[in-house]
Amino acid sequence: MMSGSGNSSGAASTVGADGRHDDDAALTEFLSSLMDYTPTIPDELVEHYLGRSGFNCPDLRLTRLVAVATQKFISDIASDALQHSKARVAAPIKDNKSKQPKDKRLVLTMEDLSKALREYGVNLKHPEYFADSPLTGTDPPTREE
Amino acid sequence: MTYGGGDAAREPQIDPQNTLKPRISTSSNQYGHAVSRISVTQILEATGFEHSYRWPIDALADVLLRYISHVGKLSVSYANMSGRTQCNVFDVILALEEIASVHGFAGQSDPNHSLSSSGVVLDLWRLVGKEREVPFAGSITRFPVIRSRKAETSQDTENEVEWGHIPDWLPSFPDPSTYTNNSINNESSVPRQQKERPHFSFQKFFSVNGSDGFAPIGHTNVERENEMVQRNPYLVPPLPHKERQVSDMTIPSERKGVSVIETFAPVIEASGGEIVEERGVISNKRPAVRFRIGVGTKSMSKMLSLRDTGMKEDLWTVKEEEMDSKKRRAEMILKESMEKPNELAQL
Repeated sequence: MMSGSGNSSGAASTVGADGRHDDDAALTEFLSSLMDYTPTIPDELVEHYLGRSGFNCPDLRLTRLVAVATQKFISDIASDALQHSKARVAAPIKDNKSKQPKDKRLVLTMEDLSKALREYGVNLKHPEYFADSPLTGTDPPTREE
Repeated sequence: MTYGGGDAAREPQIDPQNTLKPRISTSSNQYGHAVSRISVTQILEATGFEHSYRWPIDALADVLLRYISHVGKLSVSYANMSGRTQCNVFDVILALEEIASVHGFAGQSDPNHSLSSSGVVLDLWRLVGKEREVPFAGSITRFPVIRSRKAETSQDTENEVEWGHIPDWLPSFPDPSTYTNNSINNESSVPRQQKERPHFSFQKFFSVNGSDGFAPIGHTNVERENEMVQRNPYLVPPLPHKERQVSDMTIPSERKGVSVIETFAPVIEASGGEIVEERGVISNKRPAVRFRIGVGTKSMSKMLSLRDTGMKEDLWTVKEEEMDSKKRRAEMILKESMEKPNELAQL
């Protein structure tokens, strides 16, 4: 079904009409398949925020298209952050063996997220600590005492 | 998926009053932010994360909302550039391509590539076909919910009498018992809750204050209004004529002659000179005042004094002869005092 797409970009004059027709049919098929797929992001939320930006379209398929695109975007960021988190867990422990071994759990932290978002053009800076108590920022052993 | 607060560097602290709640969401999009937080949590769980802290989820929820707004804005701009107000699928695809151009997608280098089979669309199709469906947990209503307004009564619906000079679209008149001071009316009137409460009770105000003026303050009670009127001097009504006795202004009578020596008497006294006033010779005319106009010579000042007083030459010579040392000293002091402002001006 997508074989016509390569031809249409190369030789538009001869097979252009057929290629375009195939493309449009494919697109129509894709949009109709969107109605069967329920994205994780609800339609009402997407409609509200699209409406706030001036997007005016009564067609629900376009809303679903944007919802699916957003879901893909967030899941790409999440998978990049997961890679960073796994790399951190797999790194050899430099400290002594007396300390507890590195946590095998996959936890999403701000560091991993900011590294992942930087590639997508989002600069996220998170302060390390807030000076709301005198013990903030001190080493954990001294705090436990 | 567990959900914890705090940072990775320290243990999460217990916050019973939830004072450490992050402030990413403003009051206007709190609901949307909360909904997107649920979606983000579900997406993270589907990706493979087991646990997360609070801040990254809030940050991702904010990114999600910003992405949706960004796609909408770009689509609208593409539609407007094509001369349309309603967006279609190609506007959305162009917007998605523009966002994805940062990272790159298949077919980006070809300027003539078809939009229907753009790399962005193909990626999305792959996602729809491959990934298992994770619907949103729970259901939400369409928002924002618009509160239904109470229909305002207008002139044409309420009043029986049709006034020719009052348009129909104006609101109807209030209940007459609210603004008439009729005792019969008050007894048989509708209970207060059902009547329209006036913002400012004219009858109460005038009964207390008389006709002494009107302070347009607003819907407060009469005591506060009076207090405010008394406190603000600009709102106090003007006094009627002759109510307050004001002393008459004493306009100084026109003196026959102003003696400069008299006005500078304290200065001269301080310097220790005696002044002898000679008014016997010329009573109606002022004594000569010598002005220095920056020339520095005495001849100029003498010429001016001649012109100002209009004295005859013989009188002037008489005066010149009569000047004794004390008067000369007094005039020297005067000259110095006049020089000083000139010096200051030069500075």
